[in-house]
Amino acid sequence: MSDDAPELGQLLMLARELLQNELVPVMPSNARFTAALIANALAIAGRELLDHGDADCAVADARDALIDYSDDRDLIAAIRSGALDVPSTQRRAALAYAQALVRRQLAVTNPGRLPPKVVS
Amino acid sequence: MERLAAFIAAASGARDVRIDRYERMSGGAIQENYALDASIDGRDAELVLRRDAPSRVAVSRSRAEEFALLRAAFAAGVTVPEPLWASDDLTIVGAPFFIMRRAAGTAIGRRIVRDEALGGDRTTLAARLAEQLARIHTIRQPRADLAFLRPPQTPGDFVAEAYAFLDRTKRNEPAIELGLRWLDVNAPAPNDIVLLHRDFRTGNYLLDADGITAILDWEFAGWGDPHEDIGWFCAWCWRFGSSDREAGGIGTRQAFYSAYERASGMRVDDARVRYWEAYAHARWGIIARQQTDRHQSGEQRSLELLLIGTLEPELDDELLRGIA
Repeated sequence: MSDDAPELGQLLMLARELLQNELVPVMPSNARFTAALIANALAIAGRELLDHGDADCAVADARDALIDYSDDRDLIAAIRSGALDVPSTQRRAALAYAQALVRRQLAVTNPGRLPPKVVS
Repeated sequence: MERLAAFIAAASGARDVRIDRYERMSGGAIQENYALDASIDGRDAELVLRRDAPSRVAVSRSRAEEFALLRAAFAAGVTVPEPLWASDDLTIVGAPFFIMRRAAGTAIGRRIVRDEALGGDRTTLAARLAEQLARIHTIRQPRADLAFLRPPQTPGDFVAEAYAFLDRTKRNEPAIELGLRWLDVNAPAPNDIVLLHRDFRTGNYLLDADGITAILDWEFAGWGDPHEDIGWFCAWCWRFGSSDREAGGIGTRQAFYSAYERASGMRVDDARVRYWEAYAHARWGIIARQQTDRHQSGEQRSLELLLIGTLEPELDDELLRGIA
């Protein structure tokens, strides 16, 4: 993330607010669908600029538990071959890694689906 | 328009046909729908003409095949727009087409789950939808008129196609891989083979204030296990935010199962339905990736297609939940 990210985030948030608060109310109804798409795109872009360090760390930690596989292509070959079909430490680690990757993406596309953060 | 009027006259046996309106309706990148108002021997008819888009290679089902499916569904008592006439003659509107009656109502999923004034009482609506599905499932092989349908597609076929797509597009995504492998290994053997709609869900039926006016979008129809359609209908991704109403964002799962069982005489196997719900998230997840690629490849620049791609993580999340 660059140092300009907070300002860029502000820019996108303001653009989205203007669209929703000032333009949408005076738009003909057939334009509102497009406006909703644009608002959604701005929100996603804005979330991409947030700090995702924790989620990135979670992905890296989960990946470290899969040292048997040199890269993800290797891991996928093992999944397809059936090597991870039966319950095992490796299967649990693969599921945890997949979940961490999905959560990292959800932080941008749909944070409402993330489990609530544990406050320590 | 003269050729079209002459076609309608010949097809319907009318003497005098006048076309009052022929206007493109919204939706459909591969097919185009036209609102068609005609006066047929002095009687007004509100119709829809559905034709291939001129610029596209026909990748989906042909209009003639879609017409045959609609006729089969109509004859089985499914609420569909009555299919009237079809033609492959390119000189009439420039592409193969068919004409059906026009149904009124709205199909917008988000509106349907929120606006309870639509479709009447929700428990009754869930039951009516289950009855519609059971009626579709009364259509069984052999059917000479549906001979164009492929043999039943197994989960193994779907998984093989998904692998090929993921490899071709160089995607390395452990979540969907774990899901696909699970679907392949845990596929239940079909205990019954019926006609499936294969996109029977909220967003694909029309409702007015009283109830269902039409089941739409038959282009994915094919043979398979009836639980596949039930799972697709109940899958989280088609509840449009009304997640606690597990049957399509409309009613309870139990109300839907019970009405289906009463109408079909078949016992619904909940474990099978859950399997097909996991399958639904994988299948929709692959379709979402394909839609994104249509934009990325430059085939069709579209913000809507790109945003469909942003659904992938939540579909993967549901898939992981389904296989846990």
